[in-house]
Amino acid sequence: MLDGALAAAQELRGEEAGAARGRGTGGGSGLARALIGKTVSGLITLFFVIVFNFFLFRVLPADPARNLVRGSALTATQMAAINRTFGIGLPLPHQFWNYLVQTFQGNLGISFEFHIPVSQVIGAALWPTILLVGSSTVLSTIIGVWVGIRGGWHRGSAFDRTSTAICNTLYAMPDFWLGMVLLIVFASKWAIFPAGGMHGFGGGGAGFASLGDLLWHLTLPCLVLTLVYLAEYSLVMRSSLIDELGADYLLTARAKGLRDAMVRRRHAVPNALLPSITLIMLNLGFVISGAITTETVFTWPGLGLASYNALNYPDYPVLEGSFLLFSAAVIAANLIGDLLLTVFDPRVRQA
Amino acid sequence: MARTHSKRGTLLAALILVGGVVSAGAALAGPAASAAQPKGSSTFVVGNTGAVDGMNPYVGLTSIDFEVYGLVYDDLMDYGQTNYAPAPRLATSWSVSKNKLVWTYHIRHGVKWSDGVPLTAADVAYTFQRDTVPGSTEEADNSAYVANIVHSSVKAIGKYTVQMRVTKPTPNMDLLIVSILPKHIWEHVSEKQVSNFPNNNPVGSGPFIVTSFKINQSVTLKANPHYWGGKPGISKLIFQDFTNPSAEAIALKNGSIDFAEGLTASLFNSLKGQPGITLDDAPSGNWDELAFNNGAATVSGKPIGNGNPVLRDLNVRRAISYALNKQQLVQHVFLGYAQPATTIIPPIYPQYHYTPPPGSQYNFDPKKAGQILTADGWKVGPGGIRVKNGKQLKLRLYFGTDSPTYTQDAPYVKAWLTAIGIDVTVTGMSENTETQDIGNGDYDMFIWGWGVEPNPDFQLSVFTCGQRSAGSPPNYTPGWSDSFFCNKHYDDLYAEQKSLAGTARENVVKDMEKILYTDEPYALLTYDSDPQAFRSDLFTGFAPQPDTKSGLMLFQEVSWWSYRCLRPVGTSPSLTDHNIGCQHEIGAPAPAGTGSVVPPTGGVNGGMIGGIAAAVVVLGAGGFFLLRRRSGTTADDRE
Repeated sequence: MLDGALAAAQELRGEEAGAARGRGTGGGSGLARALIGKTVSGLITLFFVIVFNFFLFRVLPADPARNLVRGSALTATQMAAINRTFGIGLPLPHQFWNYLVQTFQGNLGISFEFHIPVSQVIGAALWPTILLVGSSTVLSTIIGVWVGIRGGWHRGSAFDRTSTAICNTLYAMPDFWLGMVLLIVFASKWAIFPAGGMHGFGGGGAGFASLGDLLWHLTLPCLVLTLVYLAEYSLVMRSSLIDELGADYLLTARAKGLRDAMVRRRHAVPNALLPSITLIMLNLGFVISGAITTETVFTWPGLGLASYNALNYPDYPVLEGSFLLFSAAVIAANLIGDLLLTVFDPRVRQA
Repeated sequence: MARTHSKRGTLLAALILVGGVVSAGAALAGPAASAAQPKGSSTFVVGNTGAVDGMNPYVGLTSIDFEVYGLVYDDLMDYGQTNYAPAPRLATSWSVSKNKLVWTYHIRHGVKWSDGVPLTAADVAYTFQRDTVPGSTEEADNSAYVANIVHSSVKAIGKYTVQMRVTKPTPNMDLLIVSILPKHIWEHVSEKQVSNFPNNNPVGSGPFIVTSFKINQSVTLKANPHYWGGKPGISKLIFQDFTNPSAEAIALKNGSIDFAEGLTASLFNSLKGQPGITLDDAPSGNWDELAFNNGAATVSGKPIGNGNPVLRDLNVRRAISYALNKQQLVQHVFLGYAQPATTIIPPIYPQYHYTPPPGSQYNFDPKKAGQILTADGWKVGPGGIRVKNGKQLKLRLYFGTDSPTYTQDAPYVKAWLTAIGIDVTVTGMSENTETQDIGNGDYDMFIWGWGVEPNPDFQLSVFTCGQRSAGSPPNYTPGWSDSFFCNKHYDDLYAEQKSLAGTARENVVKDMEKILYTDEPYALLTYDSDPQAFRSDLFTGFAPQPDTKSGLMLFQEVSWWSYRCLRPVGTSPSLTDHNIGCQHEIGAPAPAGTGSVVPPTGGVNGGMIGGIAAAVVVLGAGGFFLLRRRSGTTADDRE
């Protein structure tokens, strides 16, 4: 343990020395190179996602049009006309070329179901998802990190044991199940929260009233996501703080006579936060893909629900568009996370 | 001990905070929601589990789309409320020439579009001209009604008369369910543009006007004050999507919606005995079947696919039919909200429904099923599986996993067939995959269903030879036939019924059903009910179809009777035109005893209380954090 810490310290000194050497010859260029490198690899990943996306939807069973109109009286020629409208009949290479050109022009195609550009369908669903998953991510991050710090610092305490048990239990719950339980308790039995939707049926009023109505509808789905994902943050924070507990610099800090709370806040927590930053950024990437099951349970009109409906229809252009957006968001968040880490990690900051 | 307790208290506060921060909104929402949602007594909210595709009547495909189109646009006629007979709507009367080829329609006087422009024969002629351009999207969408109309013959004569010619006698020209569109709007939308025209603010002549359409959320309509049939009894009508039927049932119970469609049988049961709610399990036009591969082939008769040839043997199909315990499906899968089925036109259309004589029905009789197979040469072999000429009787059974009822039906079917010595392999799949396998003839049996319209023509056409697959391998273009049934006599009768009307047509249709029942390309399983539930304590004036007491309340078969007559309990009908069915209304105000139903605002008050409690917690927890923060800061400063 001590050996390891010493080795790490030596390594750190070595890095510092190297960084000091580099500084004279333009220290910024290393960071810039890393930045460009990471951005380029992000773009390459994105391109592969675009290509994969196309073939993913072409291996699905062939005749969406017939499936759509089962039960209505159409002749074979009329079916062919529908196929033509949707661009399904073209040869595969032709479809692929059209798809590439259109995607780079920002044109995601026309929705099978709504007959409007896919970007409009996705655009309408974007804000509800950002609101729901964003607010729950912020809440579960703040609470999770706080619980993790308290539990980790007093490892084995009653608080630690209880919070770990509760967080683990919540994490093990499927979110749709927890959602149904909350619906039954708070929307059916006590009827203090609405059973679904984002606004009261018949419009949510205007201004302040509308905001209140929105938050009232937001409560249950946000609560589900916050509770279920709490453990991710609290456990990561707790374990990385415990990793720091034996570190030499904490001993030094204590030796200087700092209060326990100071040692924790000034020295242990900043170092222990680094893994959490990676996790938070990764999860922020997934914010946009929404919470398909939670949105479906609460009829929350976000991207999760839009892709669920698109899958049911099946509305391939909307699915393609949303998958592309989800992947792009994760890639972008990862990239930002990588870059942020360089900023937050003092070992790199000194470079 | 005290210490542990206080720690727990802190944690609890932290957990409540999760809810607290977000329910701060609830504190605001209490009064806000009641102000925001003056769900005035005449706003009627329909919960539905299907999505709305859009406001363009040429491209919508879902049942909820057609529900909206029938409210925004007028058709020339309606299917009668009680008997599906032609009833006047935009056309007040019509006549046909002696040679049965020229039809004349008299259009209602004084009708206005919702933008104030008068509706005349020119609009009607324009619509039919547009809908009869060969090969167009518009023609495809209306082909059930306009197929025989000669495009160039459609003309307006004066302001209120329209005339058109048909290529051959076409009796259903007296029942044209075709949305009449305003010429002054649609003449600016070309045929090429039509499939991507959103039509977000549709101008119609129907009883309601669309005020907003939110994708994957809702459609809001308001009453058309200038409706020719009088002002509807409700001022606002909302179709609200639910992706979770349980939430829909809860919303009905809470009074945040007034009508629930698409409930499962168990949710429907859960609403039994709820104050203020009336349940209606009306028979619908839908049925489920066990379909057989009767020898898959293309339209030209070339055999395709890998279907087990034993199913071409009528004796095997009959034996299977005798082995099906349909009553058990009705009780265990549908919880009673269905009936055992026989022929392809369901009993809600009594004039067309054929009931086989009791002696010749395939009633559940596994012993008889076994005897038929034995007589056919199938002897019970090893493992209880029947064998003939050294081949075991093995069949595949497919079903679409999208449907919970098909998923539940499948194990029953397998068990019944196993009992008579047939080895069944069950596979669940997506409807897409299933459609492709069926089109290629790569199946033995599957469970699926159809919804039958009041005009039986389409459903009958599904079993004609011309509906078999077309094209070439590897993927054939499927027609509508998914049994590959082909019978020359049946096809002749199909052509014959097209030119007949009245009893003559009814008899031919029944003959066709008889052929299908005897030859058994399908074994029909159940006629399904459509469980609907509504707030009878708040609304009255439903006009059920076809049974005036317990027929379908809303989501009627290609009909919209109730919407025009619905009104809050305690008001009187305001519609003036008695052609439109309000004299058949049902639904009395709830008895005084059930008046204690929580009104919609009750939930809001609850929300306010919950919100205030939550806000207190938030403030408390926030104060806790602030306090901690401050003590920390001073400590920092000190050190």
